[in-house]
Amino acid sequence: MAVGAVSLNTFRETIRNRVLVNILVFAVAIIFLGLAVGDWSMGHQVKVIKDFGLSAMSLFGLLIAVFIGIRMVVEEIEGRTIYIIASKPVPRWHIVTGKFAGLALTLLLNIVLMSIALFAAGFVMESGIDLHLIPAIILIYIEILIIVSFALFFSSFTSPTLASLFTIVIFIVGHLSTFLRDYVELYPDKGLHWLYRIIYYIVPDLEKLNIKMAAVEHIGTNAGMFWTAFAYGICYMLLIHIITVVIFSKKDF
Amino acid sequence: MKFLKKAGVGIACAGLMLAIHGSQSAMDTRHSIRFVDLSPVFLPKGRVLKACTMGYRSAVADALWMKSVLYYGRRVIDDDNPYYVYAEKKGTYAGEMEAVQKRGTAETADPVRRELQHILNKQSSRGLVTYIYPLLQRVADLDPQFLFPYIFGGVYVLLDTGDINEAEALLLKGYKANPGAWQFPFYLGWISWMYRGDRVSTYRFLQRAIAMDDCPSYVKTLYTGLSRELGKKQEAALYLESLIESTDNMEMKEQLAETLEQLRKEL
Repeated sequence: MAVGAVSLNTFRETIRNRVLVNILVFAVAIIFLGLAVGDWSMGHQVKVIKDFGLSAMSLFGLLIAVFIGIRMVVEEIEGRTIYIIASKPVPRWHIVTGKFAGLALTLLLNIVLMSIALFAAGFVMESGIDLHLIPAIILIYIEILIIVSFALFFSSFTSPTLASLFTIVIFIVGHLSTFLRDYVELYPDKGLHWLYRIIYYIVPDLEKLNIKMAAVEHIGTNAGMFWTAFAYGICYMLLIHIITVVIFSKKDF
Repeated sequence: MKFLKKAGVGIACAGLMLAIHGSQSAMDTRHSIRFVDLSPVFLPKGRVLKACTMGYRSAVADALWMKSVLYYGRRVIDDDNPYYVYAEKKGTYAGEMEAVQKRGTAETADPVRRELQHILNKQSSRGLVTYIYPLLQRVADLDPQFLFPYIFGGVYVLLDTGDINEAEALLLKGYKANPGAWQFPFYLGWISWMYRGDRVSTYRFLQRAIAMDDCPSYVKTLYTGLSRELGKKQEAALYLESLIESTDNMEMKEQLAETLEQLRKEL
């Protein structure tokens, strides 16, 4: 199956990337930095470590998704290696899906490594592993996959610089879109509330996938909520991926 | 075949859009805008903040000041607070407050719960604004010459919370950092009068306030009025005389002379 071959190749290619290694080392260092910074928190050291760790996972996952995700397709086109694959009887969607799956695998490996670092730091502090963090980590991974799908989507029709910019904007707006909904609720008669509502439904609501605080403080995340957020993230990612495949299929090399 | 492919993609996209909308709406129904927000504010001590902000101390002070205003505005019970208005309109306000009270009164060994109890014990009748003074203290640490945060905490927040000690501590900190600003002795005097009922202290604070160059005339009028009430007219007249002699500011000299003349008529 071409998807498997492309994804395995992409996985090998990305784990050899020095940028990835640097980002990963830095992320793990940040998680352990929480041990030192936690000292200033007046009795909330474990909380600080967990907050730092989950935030580092999300932030560095975003960086990997943006910088490696965008370069992945662009490098193939600029290095003209895409011609070799495109000239073979391999459907275009296999190439895009393979690339996506390969990067998803790399990101999974990163998340697992960062989680081990976080659990190790937590273990040092409270002599146990906090399993409440696992749902939050899974949703961080889903969120990063949505960002990867946007990175591939933008890089399929625009320049790498603009694609990076647009993807980061999607990340920021995605985390702020809840405010739009709240604004419409709190001020129903003010401003362009219909426009805010449209933006809210178009842009991914990444805050739905953010249960970091609830996971750290062991409050209010039930299974129903988790699975709804999970399904939401997967559907969104698939939708963007299908649109990317359609655009990529129509592209002339 | 091509048409079937296109139709398949279209149907898949439509199905995914429906699923996205459905799951998003399902999560939205569980989301509610709450007036009661007890999320704690974690801030390092002022000196640590100073070191961290390096050359951007005043910019960080401004950002913290804005955070303080938003923190206060979000939590204070007021008809200008959209969160409060929303909770009132939806009829959830009483329930939210009751739930918080219940959580706070339960005896517990859990440190997080204990902190919550501490917050609730300190809460004011006008809202849950426990962290406003620590926030304002940080702003003062970062930018000691920024006057309004002191006055905001020392007067406006005090009117809502009645937390005299915190308000006085903030104003005294401001006075120490800005010994030439008349506002600090004036408002410290106001607290002594209104909250402590100590008019002699008020008199002493006003005495210091009127010695400042840009002190408005109403403070001088207040000072003479208070000296009359406390039977200290002679002392006040002597003090005004000494101020007139010591200042080079002509406008201030005139204002003080006017006040002194009025006082002398009564002697």
